[in-house]
Amino acid sequence: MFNNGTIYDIINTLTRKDSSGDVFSPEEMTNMLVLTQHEKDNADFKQFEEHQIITDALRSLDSSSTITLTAGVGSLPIDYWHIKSGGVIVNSYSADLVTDKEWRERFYSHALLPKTWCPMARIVGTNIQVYPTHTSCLFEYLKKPTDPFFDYYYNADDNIVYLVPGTSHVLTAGETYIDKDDGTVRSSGYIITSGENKSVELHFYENDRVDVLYRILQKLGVTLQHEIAVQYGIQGETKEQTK
Amino acid sequence: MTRQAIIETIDFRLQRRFPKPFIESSMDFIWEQLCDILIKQNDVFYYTQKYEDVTVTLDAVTDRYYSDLPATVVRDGVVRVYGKTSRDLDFIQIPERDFRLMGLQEVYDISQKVYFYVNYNRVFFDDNMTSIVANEGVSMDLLTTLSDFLISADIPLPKVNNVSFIDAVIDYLQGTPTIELKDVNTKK
Repeated sequence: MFNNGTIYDIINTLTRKDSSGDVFSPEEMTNMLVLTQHEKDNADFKQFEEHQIITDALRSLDSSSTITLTAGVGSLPIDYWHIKSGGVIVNSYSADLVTDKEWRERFYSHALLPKTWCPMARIVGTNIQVYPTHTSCLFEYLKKPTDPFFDYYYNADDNIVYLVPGTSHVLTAGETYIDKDDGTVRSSGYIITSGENKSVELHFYENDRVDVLYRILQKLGVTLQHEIAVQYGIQGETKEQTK
Repeated sequence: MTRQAIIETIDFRLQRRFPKPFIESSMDFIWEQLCDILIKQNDVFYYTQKYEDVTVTLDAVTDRYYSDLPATVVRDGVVRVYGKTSRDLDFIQIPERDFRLMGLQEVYDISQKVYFYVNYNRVFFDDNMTSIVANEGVSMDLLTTLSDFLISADIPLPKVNNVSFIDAVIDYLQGTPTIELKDVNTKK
């Protein structure tokens, strides 16, 4: 599985080969993951704006929600990031998403005034407004990506071991875990529950995670051809599978 | 084709140059023009909508029966009126002028015919309308405006002088400047 841990291992291996000899810390890793995920999301969204096609890279952000409307106005979902084209369905009809200028033009026009079967919608601040009014609307959007996080413990050899999201781990002799919220140090016998484990994976599918690796390496000044990074990732994966 | 399917077809054919309500009102305009020709050609029954149980009211002041039209009709769009159960009475439409002249005649037609005329959105019946028929209500075949059809209703598409309804609307809209329809999320 090509997860944050794999990326971390590869980066450390490659950067150690670098003349600087710096070791990449887990905290830097989290920061890099967050930054790089944002960068990649913005680049992917730019493509989406041009083609209006949800690519696999954005697929995991694809979301929808039924919004309750009062007098035609309702609150956008908390995790709203960007709207999808044709993403407002009112009373089973797809609404035209219009600018404020068009809203006014249509609202005060007899020839252009929307009807139940061709409603219009606009986004005003954190609200959505729909005309003709209805009790609710289906809102299709891209949700804000959750920031990735690299949570870990030290094993008996003081090596950093990544905690896969949703898993728990019982610390054995010589192992240490530092709680990322309050800094409490946990040792042998302590159970890191899945709830305590704060790791969050990149929202991309595994193939796209190689891209993230490549981007992080670029930031670290390691020039590596994309193909090599991919190959390295695959090798690591194969090695893991044969364990 | 449903009315919505027609609107969407025209929308696609015109490469989404107009908001749909604008296409709808243009369709209404062309429909009325084609209906006018169809009425002159006496070829309208296929395009009418049937309304049953239309209430007949007696105006206490004029002592005359009338019905409010249940839909918005095109000009001369009241194509046929008939009793709900009894077909003994023939309903015959005449111009309002003739209707009024007829009422002034010494000799009055007392056959089983109910003459009526249409004034905007109301139908006035002559004295041969009986209280029995009036109480039952009447049925009407009306040539309505196109937007009076439900959006999901199948529309009988007229073809006049070898020009189909859809082509006539497209021809009409071709010469109209594009109305801005900018989806803020579809930057191209």
